[in-house]
This record gives sequence, structure tokens and C-alpha cells, in this order.
Amino acid sequence: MAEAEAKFDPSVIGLEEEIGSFDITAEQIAAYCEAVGETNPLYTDADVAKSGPYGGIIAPPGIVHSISMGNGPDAKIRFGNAAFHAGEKMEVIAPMYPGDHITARIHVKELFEKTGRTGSMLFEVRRTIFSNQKGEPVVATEKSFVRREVVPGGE
Amino acid sequence: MVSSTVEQRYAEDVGPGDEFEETFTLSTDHVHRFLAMPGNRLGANQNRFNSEEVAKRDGLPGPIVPGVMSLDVAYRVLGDFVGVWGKVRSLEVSFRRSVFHNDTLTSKILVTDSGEDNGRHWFKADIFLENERGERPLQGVADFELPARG
Repeated sequence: MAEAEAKFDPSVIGLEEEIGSFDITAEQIAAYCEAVGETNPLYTDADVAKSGPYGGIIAPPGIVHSISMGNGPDAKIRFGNAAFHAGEKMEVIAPMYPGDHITARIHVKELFEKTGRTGSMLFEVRRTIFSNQKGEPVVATEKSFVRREVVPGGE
Repeated sequence: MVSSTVEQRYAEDVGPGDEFEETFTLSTDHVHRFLAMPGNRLGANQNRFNSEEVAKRDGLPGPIVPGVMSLDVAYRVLGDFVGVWGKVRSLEVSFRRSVFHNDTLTSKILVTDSGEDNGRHWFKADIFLENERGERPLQGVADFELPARG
């Protein structure tokens, strides 16, 4: 049974947690480029990339999306019967090179309610910062998840 | 999916009002490759991204493309726009509708603002993906930089 009133634990806001790590490899870059149809020589052509701004092939920042990570802090949300990924901001901070070891840390940035045309919604914004082995941030993502009540057969 | 030729654009040649578009098809093969990437647990089970049956059980007409993959495709088009020497700083999108396997999508970029700050030539743009049914499943804004000719 869905909750009529949004319930969640606001104490998780700001709590940071490591949710996983992975290595950037040339094979992973090539597989990702195949999957999304990437042909930019920065990621696909060693000769062109060598004379480019980074001195060699780098990883497309979206590669962080292709690797599953943990969930991080649980806001214990009890609201609605449907949840979906409503949006995302990806910030590209620094290049990722083959051989880099990337670690992801996440925190809940915001939890808030909003009333729209289709009724009440609860937004959860989770920010993840991916850093390399030197501790330098390389990519940051902010994912917005929405929960709401969906009436069968309705909107 | 069309293969793009990445030409280098320069700050002096781009300004508000300029548009760029690329059309491509996100095939089932692309989605399966994405789900099969090492470390991607989305491909470990039957779900709405890889199974006709599960998608239909969830009320969808067929399997859909993961939202992050649509975002990555939009980023790819931006990367083509800025070229090897440009830099995409950020891309922020909202997912408005599902993208289905084998949808043909046109990605459009409209430059909305530009300026120079400490020698950096920055630009802002609207970006969206439009499917063959005239729907826009993804809309957003981007910040990027282009090199100067000089």
C-alpha cells in the first residue's frame, strides 16, 4: 500500500559513502564506444589522440554510466508506487586515462516534495563524484529520482 | 548508427542561434552491448531494457533504452560538435519519455549564449533528442568551450 504522506529520513542528506571502484582499460573504452556509437578520435584513434590535447586516448566521461555501483545512503523513502530516473547532470572535470583507477563516492544532496499537474511528487537528488587514484575528481553526476502515485490506467 | 566525422569548430565561427544536428538509430545491438559492458549489472537479469516480455509486463510496447545511455548519446553528439580541441563542461538533461530499441533519433544542438572569460571561450546550448514520432524523450542544456583560431 502506498503512503499518502511522504516519509523519509532527512538525516542522510550530506552523508557521503564510497560505492565502488573500477579500472579504466583500453578494452573498456573500446567496448563503450562500440555500444554508444562513439567515433570521436579522442577515444577511438590512438594516432590522432596522441597529437591531441591529452597526449593519448582518454575515456568518454559517460563510461561511468556503464559500470554498476552500490546505492549509497538509504533515505528510507516511503511514498508513492512508482519511481523513475527523471534527469541527470554530468559534469566533466578532468580526463580519465587508460590505467586510471576510479573511485565513486555518493551523497544525497536534496530531498524535497513538489506538487505538479499529476499530484504530489518526492524528488531525491543524489550526487556522485568519481575520482582518480590521485584523489582528483574527474566526473560528477547528479541524478534526480522522482517518486509518485500512479493510478492504473491514468497518467 | 551513423559514423560521424569530427570536424574542429572554432570559437570565432560559432555563436548564439547556430544549430547542429545528427541522426542515428539506437539499435537493439547497441543496447545489448551497453548492458554487456564489464561491470554493468543491468544486463545480468531479464528486465525492461533487454526483454520484450518484461517490458510488456511493465506496460511498455517494447524494451527501452536505459536513460543514462540516451544521455551518453547526447553527450556523444556534443563531443562531435566541439571536436577534439573543444571541451564539454557539463550536460544536464531531463528524461521526458522512453526511448525504444531501434528508435531513429535526431539530436539537435542550439547555441544560446557565448562569452570569453580569462581566455576561455565558453558557450551554452539547448540540446534535445527527437524521435521519428516527433516526440522529444530527452531535453537539456550544455556548457562547453571551443578553441580560438588565434
